[in-house]
Amino acid sequence: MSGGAVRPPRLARWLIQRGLPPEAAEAIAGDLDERFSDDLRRGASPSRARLRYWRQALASVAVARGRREFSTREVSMPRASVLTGVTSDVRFVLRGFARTPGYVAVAVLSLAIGIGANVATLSVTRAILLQDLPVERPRELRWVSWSHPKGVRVGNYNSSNDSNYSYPAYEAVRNVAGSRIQLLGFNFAPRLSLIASGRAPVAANGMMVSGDYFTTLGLGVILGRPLGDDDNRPGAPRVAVIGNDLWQRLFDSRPDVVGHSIRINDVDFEIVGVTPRRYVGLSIGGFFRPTDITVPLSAQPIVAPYVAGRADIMSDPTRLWIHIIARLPDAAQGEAFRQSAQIALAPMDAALAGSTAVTGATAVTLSPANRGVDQVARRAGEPLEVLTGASVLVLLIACANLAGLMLARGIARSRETAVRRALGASRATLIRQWVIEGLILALAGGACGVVVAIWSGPAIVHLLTTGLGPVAIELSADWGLIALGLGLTIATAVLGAALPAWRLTRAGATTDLRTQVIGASSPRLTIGRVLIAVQIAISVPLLVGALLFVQTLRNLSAVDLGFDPRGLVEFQINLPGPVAIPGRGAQPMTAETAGLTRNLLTALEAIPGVSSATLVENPLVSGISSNWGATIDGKSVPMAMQAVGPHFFETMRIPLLAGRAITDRDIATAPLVAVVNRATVGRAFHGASPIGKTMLVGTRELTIVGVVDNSIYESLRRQPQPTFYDSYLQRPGMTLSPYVTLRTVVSPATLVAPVTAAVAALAPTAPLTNFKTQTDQIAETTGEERVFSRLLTLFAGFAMALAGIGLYGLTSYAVARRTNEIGIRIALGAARTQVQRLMLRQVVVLAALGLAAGVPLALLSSRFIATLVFGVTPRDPSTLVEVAITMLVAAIAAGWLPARRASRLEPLSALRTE
Amino acid sequence: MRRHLGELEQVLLLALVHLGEDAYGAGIARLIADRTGRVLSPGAIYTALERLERRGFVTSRWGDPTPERGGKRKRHYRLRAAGVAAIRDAQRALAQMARGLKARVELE
Repeated sequence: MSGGAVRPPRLARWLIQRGLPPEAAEAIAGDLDERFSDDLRRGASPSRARLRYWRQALASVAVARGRREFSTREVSMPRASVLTGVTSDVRFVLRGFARTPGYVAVAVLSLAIGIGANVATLSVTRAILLQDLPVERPRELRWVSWSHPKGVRVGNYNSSNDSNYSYPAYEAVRNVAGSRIQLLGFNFAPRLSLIASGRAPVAANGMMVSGDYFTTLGLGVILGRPLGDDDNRPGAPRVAVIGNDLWQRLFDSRPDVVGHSIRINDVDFEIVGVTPRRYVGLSIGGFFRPTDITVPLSAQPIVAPYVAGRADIMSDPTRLWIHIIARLPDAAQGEAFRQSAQIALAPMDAALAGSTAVTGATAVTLSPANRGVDQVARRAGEPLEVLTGASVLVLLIACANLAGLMLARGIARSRETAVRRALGASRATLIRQWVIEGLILALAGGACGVVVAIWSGPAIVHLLTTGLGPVAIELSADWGLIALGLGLTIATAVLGAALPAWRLTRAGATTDLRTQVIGASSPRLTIGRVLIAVQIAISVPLLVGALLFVQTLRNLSAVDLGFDPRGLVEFQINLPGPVAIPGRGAQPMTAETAGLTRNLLTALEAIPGVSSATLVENPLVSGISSNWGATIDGKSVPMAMQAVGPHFFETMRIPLLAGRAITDRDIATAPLVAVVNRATVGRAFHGASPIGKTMLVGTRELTIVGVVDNSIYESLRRQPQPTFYDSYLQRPGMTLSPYVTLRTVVSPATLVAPVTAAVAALAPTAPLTNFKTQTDQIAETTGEERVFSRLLTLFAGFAMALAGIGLYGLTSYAVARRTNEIGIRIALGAARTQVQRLMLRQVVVLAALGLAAGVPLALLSSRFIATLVFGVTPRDPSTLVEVAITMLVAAIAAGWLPARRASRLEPLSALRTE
Repeated sequence: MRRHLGELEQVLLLALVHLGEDAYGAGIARLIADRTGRVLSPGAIYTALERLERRGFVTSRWGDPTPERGGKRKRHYRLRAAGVAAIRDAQRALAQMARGLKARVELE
């Protein structure tokens, strides 16, 4: 350092100014400056002088502040405002945290998982079970259901909703509604083939609606106009309103899209409007996908030709294909409307009844339609219950853990507490500080928890709805969610902190002041034991659930499929061609389409690596099956049915037991044939050969030509049912969107390009979707079980780890408390093993108590998972025994180290404590 | 009022006896360092002096700022009668304890 005035370090001086009261700062800074120049004068190097300055400045601040922390809080500023007290408490607590990062980490982590799991589950629950359709005032909407008298044959196109109306019936109801009541009619039109000019064909989900659909729902469009009454008049131009997603994908969000045309199933429609992003139609997902494109009911011959009967669909009272929703804000008005509708519909039943005698009366009922066609809730409801239950348990454990941790921390600081009590701190002050400590921990945990929730929410939705296709479930991190997280957090803090605070501040201050270390006079910690037992008890149902789902997964993967899923690739395709002709009803596949289909399969089989290709109505193990009552020998037999293409059994490797398979010659003009499975032979033919026999399915008479072995159809959980396979090429009224299945010896990824090319070459207007392997398809259906087994295993492991940490701490404490006694015992000749047993006894007792409470809890909660487990009973005794043993072993392991330490105590040093 | 004095307190009170009217933080620290080789931080000195002041053993006043102190005022401390009595008692007690031990611990 050359010449000039050497100055004291400025930062150190600033530290003194900031860190000390002004008067002390002045005196101290002055002294330090003086010493600094002294040092320099005596020949010290500037850096040495500066170093001394720093050291003394830091020491001064530390000494002065340390004293303040000790004496000023309760002694010199007892009348400080509440807020000052709180801020100094917060600072005090934070300083304490910095000294014990492990404690903070365990507490925050457990709270984050507990709170996060709950917020995530509750937000998903709210979205899936409670969220209304994104329409205006959804709570005013009512389904108008029409239940028919006994004896009326209801030719429902789909049986998932009983409230189907024929067009004349719809008009009758609409006339009753008049202009006072808003009312809409609709039906879904799934899997439409759409082509926008210059784009590859896409598959989209449509809905056909009456003219007052948009006004009844109170929905607007972001471009163009909604559909209106005029669009449903006979001879009106074909128009469509497209969804936001299609607008982006097919038209790059062009603002001038209105007026452009889009081909739906090979027919041109004019685009008249674009719906907003939130628009989903009347279903948020499930069997009926969210709506991509909306067309008038009059578009039915193009978008849903299969619903047509033999007569004109607009006048045929026997074709039921329209659902009705009305807006009825006023209950009295609703009742009047219901009665009028019932009277108006009565004559319609006569037309439906046919020759059968009608008994009973027509009934019209109203039910809430605020959630539209709600299939997701039904599917996800049960798993959600399990998730909710599990996350509540985890939160309880986190609370118990927090309480235990704070209690332990309190014991460690009992001397400090006693000193502060002695110095005049009121009990309320101390409790407040504990609660603040709990609150800070809970807030940190809660903040992490909300992050966990936001991150895991969509994942949970995805898991709960796998196999349902796309669902429009909006999870929003809104104020409700944050308030929920906050509420849980505060409840947790109060639960976790208040108890130990109460307990610790009650202890006699003078006793604790005298004890320097934990010893015989320290409390026995009954609350701590109870908390550990509670944690063990709550862990039991989690562990039982985890084991049950692990076994379920194992059982599901061990199910004998009856076909070979390896090397199977499937995709869905929309074949062109009419399936129904107005006035003539559902049609079998035309010779032209059948020819195209055959050529397509041949072309696919020609791709290198593909050994065979076939068609199938429903992909195997997808959760979907078709079911129909067949009449065999005059008796009705409930059967599953599956329309398949040529080479189906060969492709799937389902063994043919007798007769022949379905071939490419089984087309519409050939005699109708069926192949039945082994289960049918046992059930309907009592083991005799069914070949050559006939079965009546609806109005079709099928001749049985072959028998195949049983195989899994709809679900791994469902034993093979009596099933018949008919020919896809001769089934009338098919939607013509079959799945194509390929058996391949090469990697599925390499097939995408050649398969797409082969389809594009033969059927350029046919969109191709849902490309996946059969093993992926099966894995998808067991996704829920995999998630549960993983999640519950995680939760259970976490719960056990927390309980283990608690037990370890408790045993260590007990050892410390009884060191003296142990020393005496060893001195008097107790064996090491006896000492260990003594210390472990309390661990075993606690574990046993926890188990005694936990096993009934597990039995009680088993009913929630009764329908979700497979191949194992929810009250499986061996699982309970396994859990009990695991718990005991874990508990003993946790207590082992401190117990061992106790047994190794030197008797003399042990006696010297205290 | 408790009369007992800690070791640091005794050292400080003795320093005040040495320095008389001129006692202030840096001077006290210098004296202690010169006589005992012990370096005390100003913080420690003032904390202890404040405590002694509360107990009525010393009084303090603000002095004038000087340039070598960066324009900061000095805090001067002076013994009070109670302080003199306290240090005398403490020294006496110590001497009583040390009597007859000269040979063993080489006290002067």
